[in-house]
Amino acid sequence: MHTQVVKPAGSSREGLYFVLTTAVVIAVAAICIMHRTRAEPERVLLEYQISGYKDLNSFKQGTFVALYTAAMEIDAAHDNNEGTWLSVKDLQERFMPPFAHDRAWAMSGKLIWTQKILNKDMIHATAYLGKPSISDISGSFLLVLLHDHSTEGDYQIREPEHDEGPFKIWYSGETDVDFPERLSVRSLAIMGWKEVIPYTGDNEMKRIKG
Amino acid sequence: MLTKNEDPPHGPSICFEMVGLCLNNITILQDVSFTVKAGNMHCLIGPNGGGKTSLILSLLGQTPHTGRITINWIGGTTIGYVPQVLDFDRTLPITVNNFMTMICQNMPAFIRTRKKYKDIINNALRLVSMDTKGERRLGELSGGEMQRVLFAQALIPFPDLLILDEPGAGIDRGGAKVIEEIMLVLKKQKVTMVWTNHDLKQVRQMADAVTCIHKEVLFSGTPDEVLTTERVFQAFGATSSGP
Repeated sequence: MHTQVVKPAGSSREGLYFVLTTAVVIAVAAICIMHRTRAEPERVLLEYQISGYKDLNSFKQGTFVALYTAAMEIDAAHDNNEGTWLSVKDLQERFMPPFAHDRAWAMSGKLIWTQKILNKDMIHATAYLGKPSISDISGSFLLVLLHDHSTEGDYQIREPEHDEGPFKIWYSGETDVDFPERLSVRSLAIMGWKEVIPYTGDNEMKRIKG
Repeated sequence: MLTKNEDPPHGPSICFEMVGLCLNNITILQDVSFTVKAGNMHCLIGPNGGGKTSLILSLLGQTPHTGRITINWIGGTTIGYVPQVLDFDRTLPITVNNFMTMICQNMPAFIRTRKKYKDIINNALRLVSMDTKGERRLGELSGGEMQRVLFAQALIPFPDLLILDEPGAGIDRGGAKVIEEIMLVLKKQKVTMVWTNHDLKQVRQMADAVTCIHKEVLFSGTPDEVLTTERVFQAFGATSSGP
């Protein structure tokens, strides 16, 4: 014979189970997040590089950000248009900053853009040079895009120059610069151009939180 | 069907000690104390709203009751329960056999009924004369037929304690007779039964003990001792909804 005491029904046990289950879910999620979190490697600027965050004033930053967005558009258009690059006129007709002559363009030093196409066999490259009309607001910007179509086949040729993306943005404090003959990192660095490194997430957090 | 492997089968005794129940600041039960002897058919009577069903639910551990309810098991520990009504969607495409299968097995009833349960289900339904209506949809059953099915499900597996919450309510005379006969067989088998009942004549004829509840215990004992005209009048006379 055994005696069973009938337990009264109550929400306390259900509540406890709910809290415990919630705690387990949160603990598992926390462990997973902690396990998977990777610290973003701190980017060390090389001698020929400047930070878009620290080293450019607000007008130059505006031009840089617009150019960064435009570069992605130009790159995509290049893929869609069977390897042809958009001209400065094309970009202006599309009202694409910083090429379009809008109010921001006027405030940022009225950069006058010229383009050079430097396609060679399977390697397609172009550069857009923007020189300011108003010299005390901004220096010159250079957008360099490179597509190595030989890597799209069976042969994988690494692009040491553009291994982080299909384009680079350069800045020079000089207002009257000639269009560079050679677009390699080394050549541009020697000529005094500085590659502009965009914001990182950490930079943005610092900017917002101080 | 109505035999158990263990011989002789014995139901448990149940002890209610100062059981109380308060829901939404309304006292439903207060200081309810009585004992159900092992193997007894124990009837709960009382006016409507007196707390009989609440006491049954407390015995099943379904209410936040106070006090102490102990079940002293002697043999097995199987409880059969026949609810007053089964609240379900009457358009549900579920047959009597499906319903009985759900009681027996873990495997979904719509897949199939396991062979070993088929005979058990048929026998249980035959006992309540529902074996010919196994393929009928549950929602199509009359109130009396539904009560028979609910009674049949309480017999699987064979119970040591059978709790019945007015199984005769809304049932036809034939059905009531069938259930009464089965309960007499269970009584002989010494199954403990706790049974809420409005039919005092039936209580006098069948029950070993009776407890009248109206929030608290009004009287408790054998029917011959406690079911006097005076007491019954006292218990039910004050309410308009007597038996």
